[in-house]
Amino acid sequence: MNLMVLAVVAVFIGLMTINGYLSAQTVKQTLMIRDNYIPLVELGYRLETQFENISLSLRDAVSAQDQNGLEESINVKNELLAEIDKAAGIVDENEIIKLKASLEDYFSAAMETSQRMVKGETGEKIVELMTEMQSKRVLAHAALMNVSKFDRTKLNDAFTAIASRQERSAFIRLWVTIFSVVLIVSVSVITGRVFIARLDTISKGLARFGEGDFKQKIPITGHDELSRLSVHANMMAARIQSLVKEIESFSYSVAHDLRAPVRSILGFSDALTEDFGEKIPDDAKSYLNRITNAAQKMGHMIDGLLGLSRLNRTTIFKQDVNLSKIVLDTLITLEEAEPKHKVQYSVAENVHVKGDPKLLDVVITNLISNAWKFSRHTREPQILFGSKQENHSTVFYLTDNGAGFDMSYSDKLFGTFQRLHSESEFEGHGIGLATVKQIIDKHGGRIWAESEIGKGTTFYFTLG
Amino acid sequence: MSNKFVLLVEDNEDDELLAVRAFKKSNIKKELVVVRDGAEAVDFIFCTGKYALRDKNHLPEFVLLDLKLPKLDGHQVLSRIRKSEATKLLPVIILTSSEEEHDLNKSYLNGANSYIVKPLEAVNFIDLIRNVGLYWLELNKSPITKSAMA
Repeated sequence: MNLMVLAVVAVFIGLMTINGYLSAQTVKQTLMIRDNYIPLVELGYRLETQFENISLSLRDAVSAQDQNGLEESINVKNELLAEIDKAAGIVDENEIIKLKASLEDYFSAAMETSQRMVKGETGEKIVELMTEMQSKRVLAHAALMNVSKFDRTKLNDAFTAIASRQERSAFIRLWVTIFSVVLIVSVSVITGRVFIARLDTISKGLARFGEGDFKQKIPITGHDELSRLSVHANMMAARIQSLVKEIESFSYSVAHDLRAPVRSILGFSDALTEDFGEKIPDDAKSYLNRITNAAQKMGHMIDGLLGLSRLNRTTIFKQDVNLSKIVLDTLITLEEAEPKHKVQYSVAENVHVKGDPKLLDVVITNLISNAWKFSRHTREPQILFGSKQENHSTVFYLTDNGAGFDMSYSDKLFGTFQRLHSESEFEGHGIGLATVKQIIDKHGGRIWAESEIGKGTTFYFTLG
Repeated sequence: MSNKFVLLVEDNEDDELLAVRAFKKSNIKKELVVVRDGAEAVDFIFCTGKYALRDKNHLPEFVLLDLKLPKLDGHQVLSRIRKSEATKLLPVIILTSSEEEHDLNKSYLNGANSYIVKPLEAVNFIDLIRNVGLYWLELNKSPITKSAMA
């Protein structure tokens, strides 16, 4: 991943460097043209004009028969010479010397011819002089042209080079743009995907924490805010886990240590009754009875708590379990224990689940004992067991037509030591359903109930 | 053989008193010797410390051993008993209030002969002691230990 990013950045920098180099070359070439060719062109133009001016001023003087006009053309010539001197920086020194000499040569010939013509001289001599002057003019002009001449091929090459560089530069810029867009899009997509995948991992980890699985840890990737989030979530989970363990070991040791004094109370109450029974007045005996009953009740509660705490620390071993068989066996056991309580029951056959057989036995025994117990005052008691499909999961149900309970207290149904009936009505310690719920939770399932006073109760549960 | 006795390792005074009463009630004729913690139990069995003058060959018929004990716990005492040549066959019965799988399995792994959970009710406790006495003193044939040969 990092290597890929490095390669992309390298290509990017490479392209930008090439582009920069090309631009610099273009600028250099343009400046070269400005500094070398343009002055030459300008120089040639100026020299040409002034050279023409010399001929014109002489011709004007001759046609006006004006001696002073001739003298003035010397100034025109000197102006030209001064202009030529200015070109010293851009033109070869020797060329300038040659040019000046040929100019002087031409000018002196032109001057002489013009002076004679102003004086009115004609004839063959003048024609001869004029011819000579003309040939010197050609020479001077040629020298003049030579000074301002430049290499057209080179200029052409320079322009072509500039043009092609500009073209390449534009091409590279196009590619840089395309490359940038592709880079930005792919980086965003990849980053987005990675981000979402990591968020998904974190959310799954948190969900498992929510289910009470604190053994797993959210994997830490990278060193950014997301990994810090994972670290903190793991820390929180570890803290919760240690708190849960603390509470478990606390409730275990409290329950365990409470058992000893209860044993003493029961033991010595019994010793009192047995060893001094005749000496104890009847009132005292009844008090002693109450002490014994209370201690017994406390003992049962402590044993229930210890059972719950043990259950909390049990690991479940899932295998195939025939729930129908457990239900039937439990009902038969209850029938044998209490043959006077005639219950009509209907049990769905071959309801198999994956679960811990020992723990599911505890669930069924508790639920059926409840159904049995709460239908004791019902005229034609009935118990139904079955299963149905609901939202892609199997829901098991156990229905009785017993006493039922007020649904507005249903939140207390599965609480430890919570009871919805008085003890004089139905015996119990409020441990059974708390145990059932804990086992169902351990299986990753859910349990709930529907009930109506006097009509009966249905317990529903799923098993993960 | 009339000077035979049973050793009870129990730190709770109430439990000790109830055990003594249960022994009386169940008509067990053996003497019940009580030690209060794990270290004292080891001293008594191996005749060290304050029991240095005790006769080494005079071992109990069996030991009733609590697990939760001060100084050395029941598991440690049991390990010491099993490590020693003289006592490795001595019957040891764990008598505890713990129903933890961990305690149960560890006790048997360490070589306990029996594991009994203290019942809450005195009536049950007397029954239990009677049964233990009947089983370990009358029905069961214990291995021949050194003291028995002496």
